[in-house]
Amino acid sequence: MRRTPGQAEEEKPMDSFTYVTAAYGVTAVFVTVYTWSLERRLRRARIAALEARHSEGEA
Amino acid sequence: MTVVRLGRIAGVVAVPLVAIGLYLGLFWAPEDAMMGQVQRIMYVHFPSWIAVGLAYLVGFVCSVVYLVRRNPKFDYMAQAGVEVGVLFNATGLVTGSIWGRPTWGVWWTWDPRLTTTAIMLVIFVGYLLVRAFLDDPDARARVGALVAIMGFVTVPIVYFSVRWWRTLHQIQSSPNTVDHNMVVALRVMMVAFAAGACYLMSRRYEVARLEALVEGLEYAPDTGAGGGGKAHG
Repeated sequence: MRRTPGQAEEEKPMDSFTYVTAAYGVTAVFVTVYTWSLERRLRRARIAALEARHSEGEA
Repeated sequence: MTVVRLGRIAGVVAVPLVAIGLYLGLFWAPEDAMMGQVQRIMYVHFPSWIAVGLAYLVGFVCSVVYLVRRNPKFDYMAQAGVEVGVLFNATGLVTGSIWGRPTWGVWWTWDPRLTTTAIMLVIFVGYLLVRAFLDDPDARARVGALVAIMGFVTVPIVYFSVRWWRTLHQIQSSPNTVDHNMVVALRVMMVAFAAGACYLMSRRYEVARLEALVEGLEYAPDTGAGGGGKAHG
């Protein structure tokens, strides 16, 4: 529906369930993505450290 | 006991506590008389700030100790504290915004509590950026420590902001005025988030330690001779 200039945007209020789900969902996504990325960094750092030690031993 | 082992214990504690806390917060605790079901956001919103306080405190204390003793382990731990603090600072702000929409009618307002919290996040994101842009490892650790110490000044300001400037955000509640079941659910989630933050900090510490090892920076703790920065190759 077209709004006339100055007409306030009508926003349908969401129910409590949506807000609660959004808050818990955002927290879960943030923590999961960070944990996943941290584990990936840790795995890479371990491999790099092993390689560095290996090359040091060869030298 | 090593940081890694302590972190593992914290992780083992955090997982069942989160599950129990979710059940208590979402189903067991009663509905709020004024806000209704939306108030259940509190069980993730407030524990996020507990994790923020703990993580930034670790960042602050380890930064101070690093500047005094120049032991790189404290620099690794400071990095871990700040990074995990930024994570929970972001979750706290977003969940607060989601809670604010049905309660206050707006997603965001320049309320002193919200504004000081956003400033705190910007400062600690600045810490991560400063570290990312500095190539000299010694300067990175020293400047990072100074930024973390200065940034920590915002933590008490955030805490007292609701008392110093009474605007939209409510002041701290007392457990005496809240339903007992709500207090139990909240405390379980607070411990769960604190344990989760400890686990994540231990993992981040390990990443920092290994990265320094690869970078060729794993040096013996400085004996303090000369009082200046640590020489490096």
